[in-house]
Amino acid sequence: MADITVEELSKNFRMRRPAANGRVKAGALARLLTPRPVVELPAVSSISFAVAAGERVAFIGPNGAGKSTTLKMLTGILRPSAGRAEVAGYVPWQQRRQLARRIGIVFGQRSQLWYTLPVRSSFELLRRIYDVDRARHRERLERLARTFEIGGLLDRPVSELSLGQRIRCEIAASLLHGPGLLLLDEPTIGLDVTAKAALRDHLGEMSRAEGTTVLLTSHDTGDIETICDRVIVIDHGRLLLDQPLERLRREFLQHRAMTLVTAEEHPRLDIPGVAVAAAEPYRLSLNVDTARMPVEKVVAAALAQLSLRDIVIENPPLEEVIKAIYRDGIGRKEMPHATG
Amino acid sequence: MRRADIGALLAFALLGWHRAAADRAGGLGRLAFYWLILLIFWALWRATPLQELGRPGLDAARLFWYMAVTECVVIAVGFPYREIERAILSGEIAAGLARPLPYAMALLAEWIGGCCHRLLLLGAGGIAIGLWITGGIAIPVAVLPAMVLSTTIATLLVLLCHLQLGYAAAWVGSPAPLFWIWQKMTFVLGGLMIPLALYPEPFGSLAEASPFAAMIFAPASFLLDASSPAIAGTLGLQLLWLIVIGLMTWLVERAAAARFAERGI
Repeated sequence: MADITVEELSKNFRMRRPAANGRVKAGALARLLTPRPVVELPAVSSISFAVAAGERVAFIGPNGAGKSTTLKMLTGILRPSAGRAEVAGYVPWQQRRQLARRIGIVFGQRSQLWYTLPVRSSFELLRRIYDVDRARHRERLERLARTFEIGGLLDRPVSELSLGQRIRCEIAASLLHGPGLLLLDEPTIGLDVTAKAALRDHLGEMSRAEGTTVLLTSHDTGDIETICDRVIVIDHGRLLLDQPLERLRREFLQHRAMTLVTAEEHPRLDIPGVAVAAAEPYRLSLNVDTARMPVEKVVAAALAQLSLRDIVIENPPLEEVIKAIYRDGIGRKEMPHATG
Repeated sequence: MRRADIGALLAFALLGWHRAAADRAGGLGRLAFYWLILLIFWALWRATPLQELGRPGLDAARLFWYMAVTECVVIAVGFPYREIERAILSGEIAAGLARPLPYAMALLAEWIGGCCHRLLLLGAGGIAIGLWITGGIAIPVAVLPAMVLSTTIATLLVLLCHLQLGYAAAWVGSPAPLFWIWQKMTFVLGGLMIPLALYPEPFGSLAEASPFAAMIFAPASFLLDASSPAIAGTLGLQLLWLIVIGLMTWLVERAAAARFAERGI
């Protein structure tokens, strides 16, 4: 059974068009009194998809693609302009409060914890809000504290936590009432590399252990690879691609950007499947095709041929992935549900 | 509303109480300001020839206690509308709206808890300084329960107005101008410093019938007229305004939620 069903969902924001300078010559007052035409800006355009119970789906796209708008419609705090959606058996914007008891939500940059309170007190308030009995709450808290490694943070005020620590607490908070579905809006935004990696591991472990359905929005391809097994790509409010992660990885995520900082002033490296993107004094930028040459072999070869001071390995930016999807023109024919 | 929701609201009220108790500097600051205002007006009333007002019994001591009550409500409440304003402008309200407990109810419960603590602190501080300055309490003991009830309703009315002012941020961005207008109306038509009984007619009667009087003047009015009909009439009018303003708040909250759902947060 599907936890989320979305059919032809659209959202247009109505906005007044800014008055053009000098359009009204009778002065500022007249300009103020002249009604400006209302324009409709499409944020999400007729998207359709379904997420089955236990699936872990990445809902990705660049900034302004419509990810957060979709997620807000699925939580019921935003009403769509057209289309239908059902989440955990509820129509979100009609049964927002009933739905809230069945799902967990994390808005990456917006805290649901109480800033001045210790984490434990915030969790206790959430226990009261979601009406979880004490014994179950204690058991859940112990388990989540272990999974997300927040045991040592529980008695510290939220205001004293680092961003990474806070986000781990936010996710644990959203899971305290044992929801079957977790909606995460940019959970790793603003985190450093280590905190991102830790969070991805914790989330992946938790969702696999509890069978929680996860819908995660992100514009970071790294989030997708660690946590999810299916990817939906959205851009300009339209679904571009909906396919298993393995396929996306094979087709669009096989490249890695690698930067080597060397002791040699003019480093040279010759490895099949690795293109030198830029060569500067004491620095080589490589483009690694992992289908032809695994990253660990490139690192081994680089260590053998050069005297390395630092290595940076990065995923391809999402913008590059989306460009490739457009370039290959495979998006829409790969989508079983997409109609937009 | 479910039984569990009431339990959650009590937890929020307790949170408000604890937060007010933890904010020692804030509490002491309010108390110092309250004392300062009372001392200034005590000096002013003593320098005023009150007997020329032609209101026997309305002496400096009674006016002091009158103001001790009105100022207590105003200072205990503070400016909580800013919390909603901040939540709306920063988008933090999204987390509150995504919970099964109504955001406005939870916030109101928290404010009530905080106000209870501050009313007790300021009440005790007001009685202490009043006893020291005037040498006695001008409040008849038999009137105290009605006065406590009236003060509670008055505070609730002011908090409901703050909820509406906070939600106004959904339309106007910054509700500060609306707040200033509302606050000045409250001070003037609520009789913050001068009892409405001293206003010339018909302004006095009009002000007494207004919701502003129910927020400020009502609990202090028992110092001027402690007769049973006057107390019953005042409490009845307060309850009427509580229903009206409660309904208005509900409508404003619904309209704001509809606006968020339509335009986004």
